[in-house]
Parts: sequence; structure tokens; C-alpha cells
Amino acid sequence: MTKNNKVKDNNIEIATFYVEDTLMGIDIQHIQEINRHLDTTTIPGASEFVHGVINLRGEVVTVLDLHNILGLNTTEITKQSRVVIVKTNEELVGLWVDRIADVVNVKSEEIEGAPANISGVDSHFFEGVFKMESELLVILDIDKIMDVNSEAAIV
Amino acid sequence: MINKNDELVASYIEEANETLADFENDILIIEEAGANIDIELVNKVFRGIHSMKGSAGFLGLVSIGSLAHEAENVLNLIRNNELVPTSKVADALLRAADCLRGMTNNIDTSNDVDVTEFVNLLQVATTEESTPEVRESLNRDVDIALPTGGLAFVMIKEMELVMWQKQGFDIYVVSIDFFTDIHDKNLTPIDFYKRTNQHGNVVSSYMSTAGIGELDSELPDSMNFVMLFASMLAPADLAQAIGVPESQVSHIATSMQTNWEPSGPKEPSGSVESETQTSAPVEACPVEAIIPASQPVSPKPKNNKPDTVIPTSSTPASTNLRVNVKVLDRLMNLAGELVLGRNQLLQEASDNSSLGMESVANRIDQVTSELQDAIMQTRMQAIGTVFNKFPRIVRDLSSQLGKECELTIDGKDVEMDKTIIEAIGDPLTHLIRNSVDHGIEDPATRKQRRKSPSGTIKLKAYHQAGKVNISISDDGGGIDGEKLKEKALERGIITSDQAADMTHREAVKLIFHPGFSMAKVVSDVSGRGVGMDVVRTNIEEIGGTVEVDTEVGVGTTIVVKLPLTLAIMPSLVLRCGQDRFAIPQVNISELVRIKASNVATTIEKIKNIEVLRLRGKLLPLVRLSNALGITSQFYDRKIDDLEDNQRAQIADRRSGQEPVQAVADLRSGQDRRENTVAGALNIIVVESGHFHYGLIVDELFDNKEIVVKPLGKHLKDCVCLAGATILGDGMVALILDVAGIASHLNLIMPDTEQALEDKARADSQDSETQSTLVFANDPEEFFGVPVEFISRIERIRASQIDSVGGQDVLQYRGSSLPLLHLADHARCKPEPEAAVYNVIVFKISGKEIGLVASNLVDISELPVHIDTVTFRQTGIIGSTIQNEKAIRLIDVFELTEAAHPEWFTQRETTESKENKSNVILFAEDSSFFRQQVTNFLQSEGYEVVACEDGQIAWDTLQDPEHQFGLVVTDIEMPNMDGLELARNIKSDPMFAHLPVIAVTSLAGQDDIEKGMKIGIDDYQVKLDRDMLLAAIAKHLKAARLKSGVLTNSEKHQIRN
Repeated sequence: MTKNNKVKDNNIEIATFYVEDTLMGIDIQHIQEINRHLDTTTIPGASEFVHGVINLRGEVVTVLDLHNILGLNTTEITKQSRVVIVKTNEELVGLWVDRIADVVNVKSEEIEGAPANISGVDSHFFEGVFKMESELLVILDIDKIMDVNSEAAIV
Repeated sequence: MINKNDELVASYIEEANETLADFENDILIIEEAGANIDIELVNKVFRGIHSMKGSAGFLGLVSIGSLAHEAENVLNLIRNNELVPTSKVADALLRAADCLRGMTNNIDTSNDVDVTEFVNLLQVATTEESTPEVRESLNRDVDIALPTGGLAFVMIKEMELVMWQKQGFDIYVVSIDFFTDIHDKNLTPIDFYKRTNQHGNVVSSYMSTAGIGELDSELPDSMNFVMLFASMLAPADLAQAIGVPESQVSHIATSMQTNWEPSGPKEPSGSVESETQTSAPVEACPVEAIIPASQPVSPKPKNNKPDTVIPTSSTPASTNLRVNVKVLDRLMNLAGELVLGRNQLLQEASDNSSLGMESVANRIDQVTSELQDAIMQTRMQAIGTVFNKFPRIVRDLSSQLGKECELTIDGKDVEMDKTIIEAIGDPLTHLIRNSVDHGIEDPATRKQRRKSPSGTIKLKAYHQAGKVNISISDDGGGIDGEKLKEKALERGIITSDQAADMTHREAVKLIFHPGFSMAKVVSDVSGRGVGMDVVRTNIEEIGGTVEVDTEVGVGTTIVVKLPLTLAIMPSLVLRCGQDRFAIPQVNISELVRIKASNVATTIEKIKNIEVLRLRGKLLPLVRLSNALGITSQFYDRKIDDLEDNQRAQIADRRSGQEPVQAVADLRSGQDRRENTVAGALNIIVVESGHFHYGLIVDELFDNKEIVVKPLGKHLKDCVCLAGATILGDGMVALILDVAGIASHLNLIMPDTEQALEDKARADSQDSETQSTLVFANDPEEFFGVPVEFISRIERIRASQIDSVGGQDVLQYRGSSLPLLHLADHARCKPEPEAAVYNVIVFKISGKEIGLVASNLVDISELPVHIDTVTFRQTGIIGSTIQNEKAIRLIDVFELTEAAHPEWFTQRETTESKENKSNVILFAEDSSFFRQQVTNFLQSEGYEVVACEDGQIAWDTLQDPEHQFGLVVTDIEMPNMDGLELARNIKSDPMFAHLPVIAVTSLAGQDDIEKGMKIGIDDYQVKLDRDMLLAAIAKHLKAARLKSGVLTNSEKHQIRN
């Protein structure tokens, strides 16, 4: 849990969503907005994890396909599909998710280290897990996901 | 120490850089003026450095402060006419400025910089050049003490204080408390300093954390800033003006006979006495103050108007505001977004037309446009910021190289986008350096060439056709194309065959080849591995172009054309598969469309690469869909019906907009819907560096001004893409990188190029070809017209044709154009009835005439050796075979003559038989034209000696066997061009009397002027037989008149 130094505040808010059937979450501080802007322009020649680009109020924002990054089956875009716009230092990046769920309040000490494998997904991109009443919330390591370019090269 | 306030430091750096940017030029002007100083200018420079020094004091930038201070002293001396700004002084100032700039840009380490060298330089320069009196007082330092015994200032140059006093200033020691005087009043130190500066001048200053003497002893943690201040105000007024308690202002009275000491009771108002009583009295202790007897200078009464200009008091209120570029970028984005919203609103408003809605929409439309313009404007900067550094560069470089150069600058006010201004600095610097280093000759050589010893470099920026042009022209040695060729050969850049084929212009272009340095000897100035290719690449990166125009011995002009702004780029929008893409116009050289029926014959395959034969050259083709790995939705017959539907929609959406359509690059205005007919090919010929290729796309849309947006980091690997843009409907379109596409397909491109060349060469047994427009009125009958003759092509409806008195005319552009039908005059099938015709328009004898053609096939390169027997008849020169089809070449002049003999009668009468004994020397490299012109000259009865180029013509001329009466020459020819031939003729007394008529396919005004200067007597458009014959007759007659050899009829005319 040494890598969790940014989760040092006692209470963190996690925006949660489903990718396939797995509940996942990102610290809400990283999120600028969530929309259903799925009018993407596909990018020929781009890596498979890139879903396309969208026009977000004049900015061209890359939308990544979380299914592909996490090694899940890519599903169809449905009415419930959303794009989570994540702020990084350099730019805004969108993450295509299947369904949005609640914002969950989590105490940092309640976050546990991620097991090596959750529902068939490599834990490489996980920051930790949080046991909710009915299911397990996987907290994503947003830096690793943003770094998927080089990560992919290593794997 | 002061808190490191980044914002303050940043704004200081910005301001200092602005000051220093102008500094150099101003100093150069001051130096040039010598003793005759421009007081306004010196004052301006002084103010700049002065405030730089002052702010440095506030920020604790000791080194910068002390060097600026020294420079300020020198300027002050100049200002008071105590020092003549000789080149030595100027040098010292310039070097100090360099050092200041270095320190400013590395502000963190600036205090570690040892400025002694530069300070000494300034001091030595000043001492050497100033009057003995000044020199003495310069070398004397005084200390200024407080009454408590502590020293307020040490080692102040006496000279400085004297300078101020001579101008009527009083000297004060002012102590400022950062907390109470600045921070509590919501000021920044810089604000405070600026305000202070309006009331006088800071002579010296420093920071003190300990407090000065007893001044602020009640505030233990006070942070003080102490200034030695020269002001014309009385102490009380000064204290009020700068907003500090009067107790912190101490007047220092001086007298030249005695020592520097605190002021006595002689002050008229705001007595210092009371002030010194109420708080800390200030007393000056002379340390080294043995002041010689000189003019006593006592402080002038405060209310007297000084006779010297107070430097700071006249500064006008600032009308500028600093804004972070990021804020502007954001504004720009938002404005773009607003434009999109506006567009949608307008669409909605026009759909659901309600009056109120419409007027609101219009209003928003207007405001949005203006807002967008205004925001664009905020990013514009005058190019002067770049130009200003060049006088210094030219000065330094020319003196280093022992040359004399004068730089004139024009158009400093021309504004361009900030990003372009920033990017253009280096390439321009390189070009200017090149001009000095390689362009301008040394004075000795210049004398030999009878030029003035001092060379001139003209730098000019101006607007032209929506772009900014920057031209750099020198009157130096010019670029020798032959030498470039030699060098290129040596380095294996070109083959000897290529070299032989190269025109002068092409040869000069070699300087842009990578790894080609123009210098014959690599000097430390230009041989730094930065070649012209880098200049070109840099300029092309920001959407610009470079052109070189040079003449050996006369000079070189380099024109850089730049877009006004980078953010907006004119681009062609196209479709490939389902997506739309954009290609910047700068990358596009032409558009070619090949009809489905012609695809099989015009596209060939070499080693699995499709190539297009375009005007005699093979052009490799790339299917964009393959390059991008997407499915083309154009050729697939199975889904064609589906696609038709979609295309119709797109077409409707865009109806009313100007179509982008071209047959080769002759715009014919064909219905764009033809664009989308399955099987036809739309080819965009793109240029990437030296490499041309054709990009096959599915559909062409409009030219649009697009806003370029960067792509995110996850897409950096997409080499085929240069960025993205947002189209009018809000969707993202990708911008293609043509160089990236070429390199993406690298595996196949390079080795095919040679193969392509080889094939091209093998294919054309006869290398000489003629661009010919081929058309057909019947599937079996093909006709050709040389492209040079065509003024334009019109596409008309049959209903536009009127028949007037048996003559068909086309009503258009307010006048009527007579039409010709080939079948009326030549033996061929008439064109079939159709709703739409093409009209090929020619200009003959100053009149326009149109030839009706039903089906335009192609523009092809046809061999010039034509069969003049088989098909020869009125209006048909002969025939040639291409792709197993016979193409008959039309003689438009003969055809016109057959149709309108009355147009030509005038000439016949002016030609009298006896004039025709003259021999005409005719130089023309294209054998097609040579044959044509020779034919019709001979048919008029002239004897013609035709030569293949200027050199042969020149040799023939000197052959005593021939006696020529007149020379007709082409301009563009190998070995010796027409201009050179004319120059040779006109400068040889043997031949100077010969009239020279130049014939060109397109006579530009520039060419005509150049030719006239050389002595060319007349210019005619190639093959305008009528005009040419008239000109020949006229000049022959004039020549005979001059020489007194007249024909009988002419003698007869004169006698009468």
C-alpha cells in the first residue's frame, strides 16, 4: 500500500461505474465531468485501446476504451454508456464505461491491496479494492491507465 | 530577503526583455548620430535601463542591478552631452546588454554572475571618451551616512549625484517598509516602484532586513528597502506622492565646496529640520569627500521648472495590459466553440423561421464574428519584435567579416500570430546571416564589380494575398546555379543527366537540399550544420514557403511567405471511408480527377505500385484508405447503392457552396456530383519535401479555414495524422500529415522512385513532349490542343448558345463569345447533341473565340514530333498516336482564320511582298513550337534559320554565311536562355541593331520589364501568329528605316 500515498486523506470520494460487470471507481478529484458524448471519430492507425476522439467544447479529447485496456470484451455502446473525462497534468482524457453508479465515500484505511486477479482482470491497473456491502469496488490507478502507451510496451 | 514571488519575477523578466529588445537598435542609432544626440531617444533608453535597475533592486537581483546601474550612468552622461557615444562606448553598452539579457533569462543564477568585466568595460569606455573634468569626478566615490553614524550608502559615484543636481534634482534617502508601505496598501513592489519613479529617479537602492539605523526600530521584523532618490519635489510632497510617512524621507543637501551632508534649514518648504526632529535625522558623513572647487550646484527651488526634460514625468498612461497566453488560447477555443454554436443557431433559425428568432440570430451572428476577430487580434504581434535584433547581427557580423553592410527594414508594423513570430526568428536570422556572409562581397570585390563598397540588405514585411511576405534581398554576388550543380554532382545529390536538364531556377533550389551548405568555405558564421534545408523545414512547419530569386553578380532575393496565423489553416476537406479528413492547402499542388472510363488507361502498375502518368512524369499513387487501413467506400460496387444515398445527403447539405472540382488544375466548374460517381478517381497531388505523390480519396469537399487542434498523447504514434479540427457540424475531422503518410509507406516508396524514373525514360522515346488537352466529339475521334493556347475552359448549357446570322455565339459575362464548331471547317464528325458542352476559349488577335467540345478526355503529354501528312487539312496540323489512338492536333489560328477571314485581312495588306527577303533567326528549344513557328513564317515568305537553343543561335549569328534581319527567341531555353542571347546581341556592336522579339507562352509583367531592360524590342505570346507577324513586319521596317535601307515602296511613302 505504499503506492497509495495520494489517498492519504481520511475520506475520499470515489466515482464508481461499471465496466462489463465489474464495479470500478476513480477518485473524484481526477474527474472533470461525465457525459454521454459518444459521437466519436475513430482514429485510423491508433492503438486498440483508443476508442476515438470527441469534441469537448472545442477541445479534441482522446477517449480510451477501458474494456480493451483491462483486457475485457469490448461491448456495444448502449444508452447507458458514458464517457468519464479525467483531468491529467497535460490534457483531458475520456474513458468509455458501460454504466455509471454512485459516488462512494471511502476511508483510506479501508482500502485494501488488490488481489492479483479480479474477475479475470490483471491487477496491474488497480490501486486497491474496497469491500462494499454487496460487491467489491475496484479502485483504478489512473496514472497507470493514462500511461497505457508505455505499459503496453512493457507487457 | 524578499519572498520569491514568481509572478513578480516573471513580469520583471518580461519587461526587462522588452527593454533589452529595443536597446540594441536604439544604441546603434545613438552611435550613428554621434555627438548629435537625439535627446528623446537617449531618454527612452535611459528610462528603460533605469527602471530595469530599480526593479532589480526591489527583487534583490544584485548583479543585474549593478550592471544596469553602470549602463545607466553611461547613458546619463550621454544624455547630458558629457560623453560622446563613440563606437567604443556603444560596444561596451551592447556587451553589457548581452550580459543583462543572459542574466535575465537565467534569473535564478543571475546573482552568481560576475559582472565586473562588463562594469569595467563601461567604466573604461566612459573614462576614455569623456572630458577630463567628468573623468575626475567619475573616479571619485562618496559615502552617504545617517546621523546615527550608520552608513546609508557607500561608494556612490560623485558624478551621479552631480549629474542629477545639475538637472535640478534634490537627493533624498528614502526608507520604505515593505509591510506598512507596500504590502498593507495592496501594492506589489513593482507597482510601488513604478509609482515612485514618476516622481524622480532612483540613484541607488538596496534591501535591508535589519532596518536602517533607528528609522524603524519600533518594528523589529520590518523589511526595509532604502533608496537614494533624486526628485524635484519637496520632502513633504515627495513623501505624500510616493505614499510613505514623511519621517522616512531625508533630504541630503550637497554643496560642491563642502561635503555631502544633511540639509540645513534653507529648504523653502516642508522643512527637513522638522522632519529630522520628529524622527530619524539623517546625516551624511563624507568619507572620501575631498571635492574639488568647481561650479557650486545648490538645489534649485522646488517650484522652478527645470530646463531639462524630466525623464519619467512625461510617460503616457499605459494602454497595454499583460495577459497570459494560456488565457488567450482558452478564449480562442471558446470563441471557436461559440462560432459552432452560432452556426447551429443560424441553421435552426432559418429552419423555423420566426421573425424575432431571426433577428436575434443575426445579432448573435455579428457579435460572434466580431468577437472571434478581436480574440484573434489579441494573439497578433508586430513582426518588429523579430526584426529589431537584425541591425545588431548585421553590424557585428559584417565587422567580424570585414564587410560593409547596410540593413534597411520595412514593414515592422506588420502583425502576425504570436506563435509564428516566435517560430520565424531563427530561420530569418539564418537568412540574414547568409546574406551578410555569402551574399554581400567584401569591399574590394565590390569595387572590382563597380558596386558601392557598402552592400545593402533590404528586409521587408508586407501583406499579399492574405499572407505575410518577408523578403530579404541583398545586392551581393548572387547564387551561381552552375556551381551548385557541380557541388550537387560531387556529392551525388543529382546525376549528371539531371544536372544537364536543370534550369537555373531548379539549380538554385538545390540550396534547400539537405546537407548542402552554400558556403564555398565553411565559416564559423554559417557552417554550423544549420543549412538552408533546415530553414526551409522550419518555415514549412509553420505553413510557410521559401522562394529564391537570384542573379549572379546582381544579388539574391529570398521571399518567405507565411500565413497570418497558425491557428487557422486553409485546408481541403475530403472523405475517405466514412470519415472526413483535412489536408492543409500548403501541401496540395493540384487536384486531378480521372473518369471511370479512363482509369484503366491512365493508371499503370509498377512493382505493385499504382502510378499516374501526369504530364510526362510518373506519379506514385497512394490509396488513402490503404494507408489508413480503412475501407474505402467508393469503389465497392456491392455497397454502391447504399453509398449513393449517403452521398446525395452530403451533396444536399452542401448545396449552394462552391464545388471543388478540377480537370487537372484547369477548373472547369463541372457539377461536383460527378465527383462521387463510382469508379472515377479523385487524386490529390501532394507535395512533401521534394517528393510528390498522388493521394486517392473517395470524395472531395470544400476548402475550409480550419482551426488546428493537437491530438492527445495516446495518439502520438499515428504518423499519418498531423492534428485534428472541428468541423461545422461539431464532429472532429483528422488532419492528414502527407509527409507522415509517405514515410509510413516508406518500404516501397524510395526504390520505386528510381524505377519510376527509368520507366518514364524508357517509355518516352522522345523526351520532348507538349502538354495537350485531348477532347473527343465522337468516341472514335480524338483531337488535341496545346495547353499554352488555352485561356480557359467554360462549361455551358446548350441553351446558352444563340445563333446569330449563322454564327453561334455564347452570351456570357456581359458580352458574346463567337463559337467554332470543328466539323464546320475540318473533316470530322459533328459533336453530338447534348445538354452541356465544354467550350475551350482562345485569344487570337486580341479577340476571344471558343471551340465547342463535347467531351474533355485528359491533359496528356504528347510527343512533339507529329505526323504532318496523314491528317493534314485546314485547321489540323497533323496527328500523333497515344495509347493506340490517333490524336489530331488542332491549329487554332488556321481554324479561326477559316471561320473569320475578316479578322486577318488587315495584316495581309500591311505585308508587301518585297519586304520578305529578310532572314529571321529563330531560337526555340521545343521542337513543336520550332516547327510551328518556322512553318508559318515560311508560309509568309520569310527565310527562317531555326536553332535549338540560345547558344546555337548565338553561334549561328556569328557565322558570316548568314545575314539576319531580325531575331525571334524563346525565353526559357537550356544552355543559353533568351535573355542572355538578347543581352549578347545587344552588347555586341556587330549585332546591336538587330531587332529582337521574344516569344513566351505566358508573358508576366516582370519578365517583360526584365527583357526590356536588356534591350528586347518586343514581346509576343507564342504562336499568336497574327500578332507575331505584325510585330516582325513592324520591327523589320523600323530597322530598315534606321539603317537607311528602304524598300522601294517605303521610299515612295516617305517621299510623299
